[in-house]
Amino acid sequence: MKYRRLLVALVGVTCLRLALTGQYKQYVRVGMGRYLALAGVALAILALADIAMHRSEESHNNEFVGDCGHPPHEPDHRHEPTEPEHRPNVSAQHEPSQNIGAQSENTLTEPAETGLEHQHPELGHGRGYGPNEHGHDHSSTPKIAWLLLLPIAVAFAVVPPALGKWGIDRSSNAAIVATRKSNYLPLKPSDTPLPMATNEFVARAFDESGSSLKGVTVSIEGFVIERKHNYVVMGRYSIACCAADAVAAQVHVQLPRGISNTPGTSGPQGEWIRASGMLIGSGENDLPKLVATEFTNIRPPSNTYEG
Amino acid sequence: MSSESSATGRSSGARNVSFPLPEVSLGALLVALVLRSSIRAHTSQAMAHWATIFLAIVMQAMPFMVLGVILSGTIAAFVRPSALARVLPKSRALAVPVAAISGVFLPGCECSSVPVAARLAQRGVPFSAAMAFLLASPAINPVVLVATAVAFPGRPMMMLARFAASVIVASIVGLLWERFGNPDWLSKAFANGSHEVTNPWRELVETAMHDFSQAAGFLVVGGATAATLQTVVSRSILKTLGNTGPLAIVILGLLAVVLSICSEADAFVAAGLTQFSLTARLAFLVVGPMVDLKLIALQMGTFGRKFAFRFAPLTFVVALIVSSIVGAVLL
Repeated sequence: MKYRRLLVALVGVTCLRLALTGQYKQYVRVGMGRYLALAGVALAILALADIAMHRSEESHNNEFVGDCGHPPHEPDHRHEPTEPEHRPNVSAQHEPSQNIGAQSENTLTEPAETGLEHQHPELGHGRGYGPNEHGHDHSSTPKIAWLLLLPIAVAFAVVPPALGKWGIDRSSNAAIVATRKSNYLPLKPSDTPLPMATNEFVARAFDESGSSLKGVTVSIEGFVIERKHNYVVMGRYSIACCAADAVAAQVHVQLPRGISNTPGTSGPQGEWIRASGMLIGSGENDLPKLVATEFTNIRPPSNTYEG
Repeated sequence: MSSESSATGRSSGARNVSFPLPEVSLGALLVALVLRSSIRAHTSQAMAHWATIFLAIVMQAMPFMVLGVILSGTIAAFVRPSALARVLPKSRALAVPVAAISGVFLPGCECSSVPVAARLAQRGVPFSAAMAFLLASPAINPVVLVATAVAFPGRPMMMLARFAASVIVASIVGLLWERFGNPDWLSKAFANGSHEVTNPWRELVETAMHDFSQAAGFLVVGGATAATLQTVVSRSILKTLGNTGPLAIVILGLLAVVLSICSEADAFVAAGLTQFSLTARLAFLVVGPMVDLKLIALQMGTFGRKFAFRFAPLTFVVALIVSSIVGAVLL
């Protein structure tokens, strides 16, 4: 049962660390950060409260050691054996109780030992607490809880990067268009390139053949899916909640003449580019085609996903 | 797992030879952390993809699960069984739909609804009504309904259809349980869970700790399974399958089970499945919050395996039928 607190506390620390370091942005949407931090704090507080309450009870119970195993009877004592009539749905005989604390079947069959058992809360550990067949002691560590170490190991040993080009669905633009509004109003042409989310660029490109983008130079960022000698297929994931629901917006970026298409540095997040230019028709695989006037390799942004 | 634990439960001698789970698990974690640079160097792109999706599902669910277990603990500690029983109508035929609609008040996803529903059932709410709440709440709470409206711009009927179909499915499944359900299918751990509260704060912490260490463990199982299927089976494979008619409804229903996406996000995925009919996408939205891999794992952990293996298929079939009818009428 000591382990249960350890596991809950470790998960809490993991949530908090992912939230504070910003690593969480590779898995869930940015707005979730504060809730993840809150969840981490709540888990840590739960684990600490569990320890503190148990401590106070242990010292409390030690006063009854000399009592020769007579169960203590103060009304607020939570280890008091539960009478069968309080649990009408129990068939009363040999049912391990799920009552809180270290109480177990011993307390039903041998109530005289209740007072002593408080000194050995570990007894609850290792009993029949399988989640299915057997009733379990509330404060034991269910075996399934050990699996909580898996996300911790994955988070800090593997440190998975944000989703990239691996396994990307090359026809996901339709999904991007379906979830975004249509009837975009035309943009005002400006001298400097207008920074735009890639998913908005794709949605505008498919809205009335991209009329709202006519004559406007925009700047978009994304990772390289495919690099050919005079064009790049660029992608950027949109997520609603987490990476499990990610959909990629994809653009065919035609390179300016004279700019060499040399790969940039490719870290765990893949190779990232920024392209400025205008929408002109469509390119490979019916992707919207951005004819670039500027094209640079960049470092991955802190939030690789778009909302 | 359960056979081992039951063996250790019967004789104290078996405890000495049982597998040293704590030492091995913590040891494995330490080794992984020490060797992290070489682990990172040997992670293939497919494995990294799996790890990203896995961690995303688990971390996305974590705040909701914490909310759920704290609510569950609060119910266990401070709500008297008689109080809840008094709020619901006496007639079960009425109590079940009322419970389904009261799912509106739990603004979360399915990860919070499982522990809350379990606690409600132990605190005097009829089990069938608690199940109706469990099924409806993740689909019909305001956060999810707004997300659905946003994901389907210009189609407000989608939100309405989702609400209606989810409440109907939850009520039907609840009433079917009322008529045919057998309490023996529930795990003893769950059946024995109600008892007198002596110290409410202790009860709150105890219940929340217990629910979390169990439910989050099963969340890991569900997240790992869903991540594996998402990595192995490309979503584009759907395009080769039937896109119309009753088959499409079944396919998207199965897809919802496999993907295990949070109910707050599933509307955006459904909206993107443009090659499928609106009714098929409705089925995706109705099935997902009620039956998916991580939910089945959570229900197995909370209510027992016998229960989950009956409840999940039943819910799946009812959800497909109701979605087809509601879709035909409203969409």
